[in-house]
This record gives sequence, C-alpha cells and structure tokens, in this order.
Amino acid sequence: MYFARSIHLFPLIAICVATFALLPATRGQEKKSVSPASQSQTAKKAKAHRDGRIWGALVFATPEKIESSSNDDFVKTLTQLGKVFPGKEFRLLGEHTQEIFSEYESWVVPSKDLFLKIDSKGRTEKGDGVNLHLQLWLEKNVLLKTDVILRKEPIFITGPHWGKGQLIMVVELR
Amino acid sequence: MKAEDEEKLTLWIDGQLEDDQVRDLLDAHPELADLKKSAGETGKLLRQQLPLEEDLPYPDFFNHRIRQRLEKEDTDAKLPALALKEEAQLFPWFTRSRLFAGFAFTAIAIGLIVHSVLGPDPTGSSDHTEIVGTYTPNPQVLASSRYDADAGATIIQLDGLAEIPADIQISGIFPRSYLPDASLAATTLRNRDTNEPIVILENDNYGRPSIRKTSL
Repeated sequence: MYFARSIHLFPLIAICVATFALLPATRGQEKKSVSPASQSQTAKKAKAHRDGRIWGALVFATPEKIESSSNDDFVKTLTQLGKVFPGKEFRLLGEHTQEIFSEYESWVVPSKDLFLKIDSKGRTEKGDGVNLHLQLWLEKNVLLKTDVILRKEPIFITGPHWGKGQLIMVVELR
Repeated sequence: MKAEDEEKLTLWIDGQLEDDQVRDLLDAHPELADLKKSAGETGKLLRQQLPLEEDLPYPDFFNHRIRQRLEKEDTDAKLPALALKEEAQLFPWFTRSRLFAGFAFTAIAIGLIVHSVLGPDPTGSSDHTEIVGTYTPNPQVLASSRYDADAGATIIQLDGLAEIPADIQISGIFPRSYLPDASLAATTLRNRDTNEPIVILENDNYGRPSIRKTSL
C-alpha cells in the first residue's frame, strides 16, 4: 500500500537523481607552490615547471591582394583565419614560440610594436591545456587583459587597423 | 450474616427486593432496619452535595471537537479507497502499470548514474580554448569573444582601437625562445635562425615593457 501511494513521487525523485548525476564535477585548479623568496634563483629555476610552449604570431589581414605567407607551420592557421575572416589575405609579419613556466612571466614578441605578456597559472587538471593570463601590448600601452584556458585551438585577437588592413595576434599552444 | 443475606440487603437498599423477601430478611435480622435507614440518609446527602448533571464549560467547542473526531474517523476509514480512486484519476498510467513504472524508474536512475560515471566529461576535454574573462583598460575599447566552430578558433574582438597610421612601419621579428630569469633586468631576444640579438626587453620604472633594438 505504501508503495502504491508513493509511486507518483517517482518522477520527482528521478528529476532529483538526474540533476545530481549531471552536475559538473568541481574541478579545482592545480595549486602551484611558489618558491620561497629566500631561495636562490637557481633553486627557483629548478622548481619552475614548464607549462608548455606558446606560439604567438602577428598577422596582417587585408582585403587587398597580397602575397600570402606560405610557411608550412602557418598553413593550418591560414585556413582557420580564412574561415573567420572571409575575403581577406593574410601575411605573417613575425612569430615567436616561447616556453612558459609556472609563476614566471614570459614575453611573446613577434613584433617590437605589438606583443604579449603571459603569466602561466599552470596546466589544467586534465593536462589538455594551460591556464594563462594574457596581456596584449601596443608599445607601452596595454590593449587587453584576459584570462584564458588555452588548449590546442588558437585564439585570434583582432588588433588595431593599420593601413588598408588589420593586425591580428594569433596565440596557440604548441 | 450470610453472603445470601448480604446480597438481599444490597438489593433492599437499591429498592429491588420484593416485600415478602424484605419481611423475611427483617425477621431474620431486625437490626438491618436501622442500617437501611442510615444508608438511605447517606444516599440522600450525597445526592444533595453531588449534582448528577453538570454543565460543560464550552459546550459548542466540545461538540465541535467531537464532530471533528467523528468525521476524521469516518474519513480515515474510507481513505485507502479514496486514495486509490484519486490516484487512478490523476495517474492512470501508473495505476495500471505500477510494476512497469517502478522498473522504468530504476532503469533510468541506473542509466543516469552510469552515464555520469562513464559518459563524456561535462567539463569537456576538447581542444576548445576558453575565454574566462576580458578587460580593456581603455574604456573606449570594447572586447568581445566568440567561438568559431567551423574554424576551430576562439576570437577576441577589440572594437574602438585607434588606427595605426599607414606611414608607421610595423615590422615583425622571429626570435627564439628564451629562459625567463627574474634576476636579470633585461632579456635579450635572439634571432631563431642566426642567434643574433634582435631586441632587448626590459621593464621601465612603471613596470611597462620597453623593447629596444640591439646595437648590432
């Protein structure tokens, strides 16, 4: 009798179970220990954890016909740029692949005019990406500050217009 | 006094003894006449002091509670039948298929648990880059982000940036990776192919980056 009288509660119980089961698990960020200030720089370097390699490329995009870059490493990015910015031609102005370390700031400088400052906050828990604080600088002015989880897919940051085109900063984990 | 006589005495006091039996009892025990008289007076006094009927303090409330109690008992007696009848109206499918509903619920619950344990991670382990937050110090500049699934890229769009005049030369460089060293005031970036110094990177007194060409 109890079963018969409470059977109409099953849908409610099922919803509760489903809600609990589908809740995304809380995945905290890995805490990196900071070397004590008293330790030597050598000791710090030894403890510094390499979080990955960041490729930063400064690209000029223009609707005019130009000779696009044909760097082998740039081919895939060219295809992606073409899908995001249709009708544009792209030229690679400069590139810099920089190793990044936890608790260290790194500079990715594909150009002395437009470049990136990167603070690594460590790999993701799954190891499929890296937590970064990015700053995009134009000479002595910071244009953008952003926190990202950078994985294999790149970020295209549209920079200022220049001449008959626009500067684009490409950031990719390599 | 015999037990039989005591019983007759009780009946006499209660007025339930026949006259001839009273006569026989008094013949056998004449002293009982005084006892009967005394008991009658005692009963009379008790009836005077203790009224047989007493008014209830809140008769309406008392009647109301009695009525409620009776109605509740009546409802409880009919409840199983009523519950089944209402359930049949509201949940006819469950009523007809209780067993099936129970099995279905169990299967769904197990399926959800298995899915949450063995299924794809809801946080995703894709190659998708995520933008957690953006900030532009210049209030004239607005930053917005979007994901282009076709291109497989995340775009941060900066609107409101001042245009760089065409006569200003923007040139790129191709430095190699360097090892960060906080103890150094400046970092020299070298050409990735020739290893020649290209630029020197340092922070000014305001913590801003300063990039200058090397003397080479």
